[in-house]
Amino acid sequence: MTTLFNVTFENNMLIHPISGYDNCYVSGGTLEVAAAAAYEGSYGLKSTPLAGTVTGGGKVTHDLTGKFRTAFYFDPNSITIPSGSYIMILRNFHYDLSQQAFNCTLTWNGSSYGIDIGLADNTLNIVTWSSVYTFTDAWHLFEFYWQRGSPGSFQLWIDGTSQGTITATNTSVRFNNCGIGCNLRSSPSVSTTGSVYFDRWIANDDGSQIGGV
Amino acid sequence: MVKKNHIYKKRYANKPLISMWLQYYAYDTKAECDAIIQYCKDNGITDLDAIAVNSDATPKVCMGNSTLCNVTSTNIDGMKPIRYLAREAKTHGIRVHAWWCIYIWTWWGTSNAVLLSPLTDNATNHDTSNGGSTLNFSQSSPRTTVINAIKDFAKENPEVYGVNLDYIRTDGTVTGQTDANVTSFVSECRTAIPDRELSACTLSVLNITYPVHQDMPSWINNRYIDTCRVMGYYTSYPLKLYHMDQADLSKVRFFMGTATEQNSSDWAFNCTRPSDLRTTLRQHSELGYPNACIFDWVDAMDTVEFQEALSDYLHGKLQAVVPYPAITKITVTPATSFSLDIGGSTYTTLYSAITDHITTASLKTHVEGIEGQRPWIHYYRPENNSTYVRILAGDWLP
Repeated sequence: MTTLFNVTFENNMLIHPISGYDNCYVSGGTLEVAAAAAYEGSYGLKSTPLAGTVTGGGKVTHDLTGKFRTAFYFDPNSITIPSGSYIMILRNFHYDLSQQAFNCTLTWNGSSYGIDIGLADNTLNIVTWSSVYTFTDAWHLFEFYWQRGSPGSFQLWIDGTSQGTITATNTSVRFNNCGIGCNLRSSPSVSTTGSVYFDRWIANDDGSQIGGV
Repeated sequence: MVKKNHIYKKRYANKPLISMWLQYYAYDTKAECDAIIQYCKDNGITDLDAIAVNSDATPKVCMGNSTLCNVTSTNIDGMKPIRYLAREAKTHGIRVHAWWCIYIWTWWGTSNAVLLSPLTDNATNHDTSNGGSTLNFSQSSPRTTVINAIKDFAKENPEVYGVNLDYIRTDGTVTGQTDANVTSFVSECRTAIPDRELSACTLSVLNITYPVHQDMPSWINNRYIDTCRVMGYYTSYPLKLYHMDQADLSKVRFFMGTATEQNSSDWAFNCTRPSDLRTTLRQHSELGYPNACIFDWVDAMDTVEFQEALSDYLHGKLQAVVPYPAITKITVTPATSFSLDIGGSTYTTLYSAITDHITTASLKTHVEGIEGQRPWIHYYRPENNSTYVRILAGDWLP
């Protein structure tokens, strides 16, 4: 497996070439390393979003044109999200913030949480969305597998169980950045209450299994 | 491939190489050329990237080819300044590379720019999309004209050690701007000047707003280029060889970029801040980058700090790995303030106090003011003009 990064925040540093982000993008809210956000070890990432702003960061990779597989532990931590709204918790950066290859968004219907994934085609716009997959208000392992092709694909696992795969023609899509956090989109405007937690964020570029899939 | 000269081998064995960019106004008199060479000797600078074709001056100056660029040339001892500089530098084992921007003009964006004959400025020759300035690499006419100019230049300036291709990339999006077309242009440059070192300026990352089509692995692995100037100058371009990971680095000598440009908000370092050059050179050492290129001469050369940092770098005094700043928390209230938690303390500053770097004194003391411990904190404005606090420290060692 060719590991691109393995972010644990165990050095108690937000920005760190191995343990933390390469870059932070914070236009509002609070992004912090916190003991409360640890799934394992001593520290994890806590993101407290603010409406209309971005609260996250990313890792830079080489120019990815084939496969990208990534996984992280996530706890919604009882955050409230207005019905019908969502916050984006994973996305790549493709040349600039307005274009993307894939993303993952978090929703809450008042009783359970859900995530869905989206995949861009060669226009660099998200053209395919999955169903919403529900999960409980606790730690879960999310794993994602993006592949370029005709069709290309994007697959999601929750706690090792495949939830679904979506496809689109993405033969010319490339990127060299991936981010986790809250509201990782151009014009987020969702009013939320609370914080979410992330821990052990791993990625590779050969599609090798990361978690217990 | 360039034939290595014994004097260079002897001088540079197992030592870091330092390349310095020279604007046209830095060396258009004999006194300036002589002073530059002496400075290089005194401070261990091994390479000079001197602009070769330029008309951004009054009177217009063409350092290189006078046939294609019908402008008045300044002469030193009967020769163009770059030839005089190269000739004199060579006697001291200092290599002069012709800094050549791949435009259809002698320069770009100035009223004095001269079109390379016989080209006309149209979309066939010049990729005008997105305000682009580079060649339309899919078209044979501009390609041939530029390559012929480089070939003629090399013939007229035998003492010039190499040619350094700048703007060897696309910044527009017309059909035909592809990796393959840019790469074939580099290949043709290689063929055009087989006896000179060929260098290329490359961006240190590719996540900018347009595809640049710099297939560096191909350029290196096919030995189209001998050296690479990695332009890690900008805070938004992390200092890293991202696009080189598929390349055989044993086939190329590369220089990591270090900027000392003054009064530019997006340049990583500023020679008016004494520790900046030392800090970035220390990063070079820590990351194992053996050589550095510094932009540019005029702004940097007279500062004592610059000379001391160069000396320490060349003599291995910047090798120590330093502690990493422990930023644990970032809080931003849009258009009002932001704060950082560092080492258990919170430092807050107002948005209005931020220009290009943090200006709050307490924060500077704890972040910028500790040599070697400064992350790059910038008030960052991407293309859509939304406001971010962006903190970069991606390549620092633990």
